[in-house]
Amino acid sequence: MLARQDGDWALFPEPLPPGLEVEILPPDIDLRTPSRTLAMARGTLRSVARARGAVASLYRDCRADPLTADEPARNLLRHLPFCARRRADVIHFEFLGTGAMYPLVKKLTGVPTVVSCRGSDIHLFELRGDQLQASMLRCLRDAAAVHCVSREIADNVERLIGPRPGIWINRPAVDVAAIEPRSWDAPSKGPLKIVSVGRLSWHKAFDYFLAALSRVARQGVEFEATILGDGELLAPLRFSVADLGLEGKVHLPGAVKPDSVLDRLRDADVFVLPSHNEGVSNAALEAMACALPVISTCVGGMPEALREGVEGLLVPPRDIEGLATAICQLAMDRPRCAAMGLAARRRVEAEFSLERQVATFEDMYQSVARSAP
Amino acid sequence: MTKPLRIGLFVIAFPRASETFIVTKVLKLLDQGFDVQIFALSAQADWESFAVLEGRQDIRDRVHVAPARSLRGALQFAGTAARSPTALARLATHRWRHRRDNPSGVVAPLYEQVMFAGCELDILHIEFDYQGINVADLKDYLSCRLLLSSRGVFQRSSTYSAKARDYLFRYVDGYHFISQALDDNAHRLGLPADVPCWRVEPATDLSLFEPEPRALRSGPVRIVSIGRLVWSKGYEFAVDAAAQLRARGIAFTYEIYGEGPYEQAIRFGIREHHLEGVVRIVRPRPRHEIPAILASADIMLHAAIDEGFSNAVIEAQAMELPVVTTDAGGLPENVEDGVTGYVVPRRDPVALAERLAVLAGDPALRQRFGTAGRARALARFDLERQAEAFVELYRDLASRPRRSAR
Repeated sequence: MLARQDGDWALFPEPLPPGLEVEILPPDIDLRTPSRTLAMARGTLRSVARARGAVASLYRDCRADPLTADEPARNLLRHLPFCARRRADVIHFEFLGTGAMYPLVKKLTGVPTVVSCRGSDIHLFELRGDQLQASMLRCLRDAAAVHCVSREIADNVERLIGPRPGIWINRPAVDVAAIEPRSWDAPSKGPLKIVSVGRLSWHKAFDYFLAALSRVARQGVEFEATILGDGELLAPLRFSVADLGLEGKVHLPGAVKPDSVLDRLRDADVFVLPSHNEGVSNAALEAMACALPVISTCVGGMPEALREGVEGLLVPPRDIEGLATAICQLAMDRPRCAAMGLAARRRVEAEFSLERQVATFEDMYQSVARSAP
Repeated sequence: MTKPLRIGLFVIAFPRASETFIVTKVLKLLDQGFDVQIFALSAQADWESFAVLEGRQDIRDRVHVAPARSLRGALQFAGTAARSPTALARLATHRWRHRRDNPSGVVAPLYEQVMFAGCELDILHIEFDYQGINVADLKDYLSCRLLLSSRGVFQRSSTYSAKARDYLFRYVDGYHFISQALDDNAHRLGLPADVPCWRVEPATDLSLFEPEPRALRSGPVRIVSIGRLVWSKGYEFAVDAAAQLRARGIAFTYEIYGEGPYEQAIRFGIREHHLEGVVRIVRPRPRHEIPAILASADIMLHAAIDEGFSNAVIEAQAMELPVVTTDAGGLPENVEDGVTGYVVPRRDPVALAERLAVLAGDPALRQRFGTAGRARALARFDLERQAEAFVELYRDLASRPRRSAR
């Protein structure tokens, strides 16, 4: 049996190997969502009723452990769901940040853990506070297996905790079969249709993208760009669009329904990912499945998803001029867009299929369960 | 002798440490015989920050605070109702007639605006135009002229709808802008041409920013930025410019004084460029320490994407610091390009770095720009002069006919 703990399950609907019994543990207490808090409270009462002794010793541990001692009561509440639960064979923390919130789980349950490292959790490690860093390091060291979404993340994990067995590189996947690619039969004409998808936060560097687009416009290259997504920078980015005189050329519709994203991708000629920081972008993989060429910054695991000049173009991060040049190149060379788009689709079919991802997860879980004492 | 002009100032709170200019103006207006009343939304005032207001009960008596949503506030409201029932009834009628103007309906605005009951004014001056979106129609109740001050936020924020803007533009009798850029943009946004407009630039108390002769010193050039760590200040581009500067082999340090929601993005940039130790984020310092910070720096960098005018840049010039800044908002009016600093296109780290490099390599040029900056501050950004400009503005506006709201 597999227990998975994650804050926002809906964000990462990763498919699971068949034949596993999965229990999704309630997330942390969050007073802003009463239903979650209520579920948590119910679980807590039951735990206390069933395992009073375990709860008492857990509280002692919370007070003694340096990673939980500053807030023993809160940490006790957090760990309670693991106390009186049916025994799982594996506990999977879907994010390193989540795993770091449960530093006592290994001692409490004895169940082997798996933790996923997906991007920001590793790339921003040095920017975290001392306590969180220490909790993350313990989570990585305690884990029976560490799931990394790219070779680059795996290298960083080894940099943090040294080489260790049980590091699994399992890159994200897309349901290629379910995604109809765009057609390149008719040559694309007119303004280059550019699309980008992502949360409107600083990580995605859409400021740099807009600055690059304004240079593309100044070169006289015709384009129409759409940035799909919502976030705290929606208003500032809309300001920038107007400030750069890009109204009518750049659209920021805000949040869109997930199923309309695919339609918008198929309607485009090129996908741009200007990020400062990425694991392996699922949005870029979806675009590749739609047979779009991708212009991406060469950050994180992105060079593992596409090769320069084959499935798209790689540019240095934070390089406005470089990004503008890459966009102009593809705008001038539509046959190359088509060739790269088709190559992108083939690459995703060959290397980023769900089957491969699910099989690797299965191997990882089995190997962890087998090696458990 | 003519009756003194009655000016109502609508502010968030009075006095506030961050709004010294309003205190200076109030003192000047009283000095010149104006009748000034201050209407504040909140009682969160900083009286102790102003030595000049010590013992001025006469000024305290001129401050009217909107009732809080508490028992005390309710008692305050009831007191007004008991003292001047007719004035309140008239205000209530006004609110009912203008119920469509105010998204909060009738009761909540009536409660908040009870401080205006029975007041008589010649000019109601809303010091931050966006604060007027619930209040502008009161000019009809008060039979006065409505003056709005545009300091940037309202025009650039998408929080405020076109409807709110049209409402203000319908009632306004005069518009004060802190920069020509905001004036131009307001007209682009539909401010009617018949609304008289004035430009009065921000100012600072220059007596607090007295430069001392800069000692010649060796070592890395010291670059400084002061301002909240928010998106609009463009710090990511400033950090990119620092990386370019280092690539040119220039020895420098860059200190950013501030805190705010964009800190993580800035720290990430510093780390990605391996600039730790060269670029530092420092907790913001109290105001009285700012002159010393500016005095020990060589160049101010202000990489804003969006800016009203920037007092930090005024203060840098007052302290004889050359400035490298962008052309966002009122900054090109604040800094004279090639005279007190350099103005480059916004969102362009390469251009920032080029200008920084020029100044870093030329101490004599820095000194020349610094001297010119001080002269510019004295000539244009002096607090007393600003207060005088407002006195002129009020007299001018009062002599003009009221616009009738359409």
